[in-house]
Amino acid sequence: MSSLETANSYFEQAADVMGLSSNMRTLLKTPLREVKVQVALEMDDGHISTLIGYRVQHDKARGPMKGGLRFHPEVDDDEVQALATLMSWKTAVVNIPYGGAKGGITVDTHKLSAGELERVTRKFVDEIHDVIGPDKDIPAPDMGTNAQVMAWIMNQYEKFHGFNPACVTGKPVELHGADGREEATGRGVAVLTRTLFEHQKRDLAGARIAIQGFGNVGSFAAKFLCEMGAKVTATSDAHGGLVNEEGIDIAELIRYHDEHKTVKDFPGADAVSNTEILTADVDVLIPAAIGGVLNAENARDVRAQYVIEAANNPTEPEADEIFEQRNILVLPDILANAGGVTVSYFEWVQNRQHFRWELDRVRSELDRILAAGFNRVVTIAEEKKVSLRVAAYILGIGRVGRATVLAGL
Amino acid sequence: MSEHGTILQLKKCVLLQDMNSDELDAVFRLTESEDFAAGEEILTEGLAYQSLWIIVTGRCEVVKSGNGLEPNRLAELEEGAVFGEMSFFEKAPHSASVRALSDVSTMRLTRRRFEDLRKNCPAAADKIACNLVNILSTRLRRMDEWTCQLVEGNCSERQQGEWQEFRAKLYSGLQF
Repeated sequence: MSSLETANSYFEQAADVMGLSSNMRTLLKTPLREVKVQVALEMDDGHISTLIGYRVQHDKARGPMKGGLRFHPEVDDDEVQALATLMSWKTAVVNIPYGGAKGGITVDTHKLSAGELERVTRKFVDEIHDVIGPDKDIPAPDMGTNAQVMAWIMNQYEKFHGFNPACVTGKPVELHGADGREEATGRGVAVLTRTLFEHQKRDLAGARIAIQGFGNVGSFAAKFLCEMGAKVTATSDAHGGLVNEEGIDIAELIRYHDEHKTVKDFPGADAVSNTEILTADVDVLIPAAIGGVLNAENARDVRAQYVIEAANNPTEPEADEIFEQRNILVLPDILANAGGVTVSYFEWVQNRQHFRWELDRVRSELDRILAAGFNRVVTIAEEKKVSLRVAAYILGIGRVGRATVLAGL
Repeated sequence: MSEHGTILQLKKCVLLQDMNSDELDAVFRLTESEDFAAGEEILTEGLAYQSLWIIVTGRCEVVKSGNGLEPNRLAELEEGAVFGEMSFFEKAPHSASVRALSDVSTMRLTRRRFEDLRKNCPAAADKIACNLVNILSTRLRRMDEWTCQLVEGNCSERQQGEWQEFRAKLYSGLQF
């Protein structure tokens, strides 16, 4: 199932509970603008490569649109649209004053030199600078992009529009970035896992956790969960997986990953396949890599009692149904990984105020916003007797809907 | 019908309201009598005759051809009714055809005779012009109402209904 079909399926489930008419569903689902541009690039060896770049702006009823920029070989119209829609609900769930957007370029960054990556980024900004900006649409890092890419985006945007660091978030701390932005998504995942355990009256200390993916999100989630007393007993990346029933030494693994760019062959754990991570004997499963990894084929083999969706769209609707039948509680992506966009919002606020916040303030504001979102989602789930996912969608769609009717067409 | 009878019939006509007998007589002298058999077309859509017809006896129908569809009957006209008034002042093709439903007797006032009337009896010509303005403005007002109803019926009424329903759903029960 494509990301767009998955996103639509969850939207429809929530819209059914809300009793929305088909015209209102169409209004809420249809993106405001979809931009598709040519990104022509001269490669280091002199040949010309023509790439395709996308920016989908889904909804601006609640504020300027916000969403990541993904450089990945599988980026296409459908995926970007699905993720843009997800951003509208996500920013609404955590109640930050943004709409949703997403963008990307279909490219494998591993095959680009640093110079080629910079030229691709700048060329893309040349093509879309008119439709983005601090009051219109603010890009951020996503798969295949990082703080350096955001710095190039800011610099290129400013060539057209003058000094304006709030035009993009996830920038390096030395260049108008925010302390705590890099760790934000992973930290949010950890904080929400702890909040869920508290709500379930369970102790996170000693809980066994499997994390699929050890990139920015997975590694920070692992770090903070360990600090909270949980044990990460299984993790993986694209090259392979690790298991250690006693708990993997995450600080050591982060150092190993920094050096080797993979978790494979880490000496402090046994090697397993990447997919075995998903069915490991753990209390909590955190998919933190790509979408669609939990599906009808493996959902019955999942042994965790809790699934925390650090990745976007990791659970296909069939798997979601199986989890519900099996009483496996899923904390949905639009809440679970909202820490990233929330601290992006703090970065944008700091840029506009020309005032830097201390890390403690970033963290405490993040905790407060995530806790408020969690409590509201749980209340709706209990009132409506629906899953946390449907409740989160109801909250997101409801807030976007209210802003839409208040403003008028 | 006798001359006196015809004048009495004309007096009922909306076009000739508020006229005294001298003025009515002046109008009568300038009109021509025209009779049509049932089914006969008196006035053809698309052609332009600058005349006013007053129905003295009989009934007519006003028909507008659809775009390749069945003709649309816009109205049925009875004794005392007037037609031809839209092309009377502005020389433009008639917007619809008029056909006799029964044997019809009419009095016709051409634009040239009307100009004679303006010279000979300006008061009568003035009253005809005022009555025509009344007829046209009443029709225009009705058209405005229809247009509003049509627009509301097609979009805003339905849209407001859906919009209100959406709003009601968002503001009932759940706290967002």
